[in-house]
Amino acid sequence: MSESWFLDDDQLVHELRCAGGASAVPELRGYTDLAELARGGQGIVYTGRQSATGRLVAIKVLPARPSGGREARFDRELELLARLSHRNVVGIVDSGSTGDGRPFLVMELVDGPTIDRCDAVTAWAQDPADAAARDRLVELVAQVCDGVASAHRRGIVHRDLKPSNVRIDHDGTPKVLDFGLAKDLGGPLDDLTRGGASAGAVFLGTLEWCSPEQARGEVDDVDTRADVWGLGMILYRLLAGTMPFPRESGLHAALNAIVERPAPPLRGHRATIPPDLETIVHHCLEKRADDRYQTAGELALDLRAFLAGQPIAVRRHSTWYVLRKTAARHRGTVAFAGLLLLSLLAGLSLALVLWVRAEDGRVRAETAERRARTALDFFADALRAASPNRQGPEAKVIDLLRQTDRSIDTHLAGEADAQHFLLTRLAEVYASLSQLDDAERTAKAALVQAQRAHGSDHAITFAAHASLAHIWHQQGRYRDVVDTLTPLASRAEALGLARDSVVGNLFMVLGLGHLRLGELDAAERAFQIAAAVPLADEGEQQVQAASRENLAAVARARGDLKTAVQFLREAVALRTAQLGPEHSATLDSIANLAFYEAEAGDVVGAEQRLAIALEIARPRLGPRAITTLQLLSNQAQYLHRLRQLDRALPIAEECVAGRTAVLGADHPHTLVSRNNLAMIRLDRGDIDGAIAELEGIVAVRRAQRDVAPLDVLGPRNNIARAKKQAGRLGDAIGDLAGVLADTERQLGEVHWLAKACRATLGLWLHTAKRDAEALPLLQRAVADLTADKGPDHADTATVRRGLHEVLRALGRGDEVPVDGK
Amino acid sequence: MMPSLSTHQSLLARLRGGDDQEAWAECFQRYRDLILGVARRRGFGGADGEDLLQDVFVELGKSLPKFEYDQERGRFRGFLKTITVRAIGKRLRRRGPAPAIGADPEMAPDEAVGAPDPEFEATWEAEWRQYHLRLAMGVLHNEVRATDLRAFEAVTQGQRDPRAVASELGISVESVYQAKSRILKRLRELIAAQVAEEG
Repeated sequence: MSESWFLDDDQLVHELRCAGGASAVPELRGYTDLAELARGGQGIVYTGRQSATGRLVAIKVLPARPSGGREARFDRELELLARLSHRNVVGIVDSGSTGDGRPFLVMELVDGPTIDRCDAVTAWAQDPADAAARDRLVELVAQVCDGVASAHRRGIVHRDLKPSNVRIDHDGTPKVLDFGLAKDLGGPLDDLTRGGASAGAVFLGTLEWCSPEQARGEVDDVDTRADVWGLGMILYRLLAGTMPFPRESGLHAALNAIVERPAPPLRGHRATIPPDLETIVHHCLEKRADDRYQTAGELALDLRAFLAGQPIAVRRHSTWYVLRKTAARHRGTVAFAGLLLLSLLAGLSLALVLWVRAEDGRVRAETAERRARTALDFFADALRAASPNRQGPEAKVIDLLRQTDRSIDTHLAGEADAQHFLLTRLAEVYASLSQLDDAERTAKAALVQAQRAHGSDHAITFAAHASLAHIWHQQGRYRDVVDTLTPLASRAEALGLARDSVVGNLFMVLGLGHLRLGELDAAERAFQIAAAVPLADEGEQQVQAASRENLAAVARARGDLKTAVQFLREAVALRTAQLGPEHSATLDSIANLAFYEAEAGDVVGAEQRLAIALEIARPRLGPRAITTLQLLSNQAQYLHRLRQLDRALPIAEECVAGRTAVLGADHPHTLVSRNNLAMIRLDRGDIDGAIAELEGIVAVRRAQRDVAPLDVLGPRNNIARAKKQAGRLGDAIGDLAGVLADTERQLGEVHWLAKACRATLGLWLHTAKRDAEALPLLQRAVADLTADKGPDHADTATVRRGLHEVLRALGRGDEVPVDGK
Repeated sequence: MMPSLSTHQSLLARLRGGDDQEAWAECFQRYRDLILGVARRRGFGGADGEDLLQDVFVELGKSLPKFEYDQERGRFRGFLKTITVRAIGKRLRRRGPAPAIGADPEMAPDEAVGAPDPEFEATWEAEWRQYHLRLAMGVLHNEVRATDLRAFEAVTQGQRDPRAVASELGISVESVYQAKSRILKRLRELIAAQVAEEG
């Protein structure tokens, strides 16, 4: 077409028709009084009246049905949304197609103000001392979280949460608009309702609210945690009265700020905001999705805890969670880093005391004091420059670290020893915060300074090698660890330094490398050297406990559970003595011990041990701490295995309730505990309860995207078994036949579940006297079992017996071999 | 309602300044439907289109301040096209081996710019015409009586019988024809001006 197409009337009219501007209001059965509200690239929105109920609704007509394989996804999304019924969500009340085949969605019309214009927000904006208004505002957002959480449980992510998407109903209930519309159903309604002139502003507005992962364009990484970010932004905006990342600096700068700049402290805007509330909001605004609340449900819990004046979960995290992460990753070697991290927050003094004590034996006291003073001055400067109390605990440390890190070289020029000390601690803290690249860089610099200060053959230099290698270990570079540390270990032994607790770490890291590479003998030898370090102080006790846990891992890898249990008992004793019984590292150690004991056959011992651990964990860590819930889950299973079903039941129920609340209903751990609960119910004879639980799991799984076939087929298989146990043989056979067909289709005919279903279904059909149907299934099952488990295996024998009975029942007894095989 | 639009040149100048929020809003409003249209024709409907739109504007935000304008015609148009093609290529790659939805999987992200895909060219041109039409219609909405506009839309877009339209609107058939020819003439003028000053 020519450049001057517009000069030709026919072409111009043709283009106008292509624009499809058919402005006629469509006729929709069941709806009257349609009036256009707005239109845009993604469809037209009308207001209308639902004839059946007389209520006003919003009707969105999309330009066309999706095509090219997306219909299924579209229908599925629509179905999910239609089932999303929650008082805090504006759901879809109806859907269908217009006469010319365009899909339409009908939604409740909420005509109240958006949340940023509601009374509570206005009152709070006017009076920073109005705590009641502030709490009403927080309660509104908590309800918004409830709505969002309910959608998250169905696998629906909003992706576009902002105040203009939350409206307050006439009775004061906040309602989230446009759920799921952001993805497959034609874009958010909001952009359309604003329409025309302000569309550009709306887009920019949307950008302002987008999460760091969205701003980086990482569309595949956008999940429920992006909504947590959105909720945090809403809270920030409502509480502070301003955006954390104002856009006066231009589009690009605004996006960069979202990705890189920490949100300014909320209390900097309004000092009357309580610190706990500030902590909650900043926790939502962590740049890494992993560091935020993982679901809207968790956020709602903390908001309500804040309103009730109870301690919030993030605060707990900042202490035990960080320590636990550190301890878990570093085991004994650098559990010190966890302590150091905390003391950085507290003001460093503890770290310096510990350090001076730890280093005491190696350097003269006055040197240690001088070094401590230098370090303290340095950190004090860094702290002042970094203005603490900026945001959440981890982000604050990272800020501080990066600034500190950059200035070490200039501030401490010529002080190789002090530089080594600081760089080593920084590397440990970076590692404990999973900043492994930063950690490796600083650990390498620390090694250079150690060599400069002490030479190659000094214990401190060996320890510096170990610190660097430990970071490689966390990066998965096990071969590098072993190759680098093996000659150093020989050299340290030759120099008689192997029993030095600082060098003990080198053997520990070397052992871990060997263990990961499956070199068990070498691993054991290294751990034994580390375990032989004499007990002198706290740090070394940690080395001892960790090396025993590692020796247990070696023993278990060899199948020697008895030795593994023995080592773990020693580790638990050491950890209890060092960290106290309520420390989560101690409790983790106990859970491990119980697991090993159960595996070694001592289920009674395992259960008793967990019962004691739970008595400590429930009050100390909280009934819904992750560790507590893990202990509950394990204990329910042990009690189940011990057939103490009446004791197992309430514990399994407590675990399911806790995990549902904390992890969300669709978290794999939640579903595993629900399955365990169902099995306990089944064994107690509560077959309906078991079936209901299993059907619940299947429903959750089916609502999830990209669910593994086995995750649905497994519980369906269990449902069939439960029905069989209830005597509903016909139902059970029907269900199991369905499972078998779907398994064959989705996982293949040779999948173990298909084989298992065939054998079971054959036996059930025989019981139901449907022998002709049973015959081919059992023939194939016997062949499979004989090949897989051998002709003499108990399962093979059982199924073979079934086959023989079927043959006899069919009058083909002559085909049964005389020897029964 | 459409705001009064600045000329394309002055808009570009403001955008290159970087920090003019209103200019960005206007730029977005101008090109939003164009990019969504191209996206839809390339298989990115619904929210996928919105995502693509966001990609394009994020990229524009980064590179427009560096964009050196010269007098060569169609320069901005080519620039925007390049960015859009790249964004589509990037998203297609991200979709991975899953069957691409109505889009050619072989359209590589960067090469496509040097060696234009003829089908994409046609898509782009078609959407560009629509873009001009929308822009001009926006101006018309402010200039023309509502009845005339409805008559015009009914007989052109709606392809309806002018007599029926006339009786429905309570005007003479003559007026319907007049409205149609007057508005078409005005559209030609407006689009001609837009194309002439297009960067």
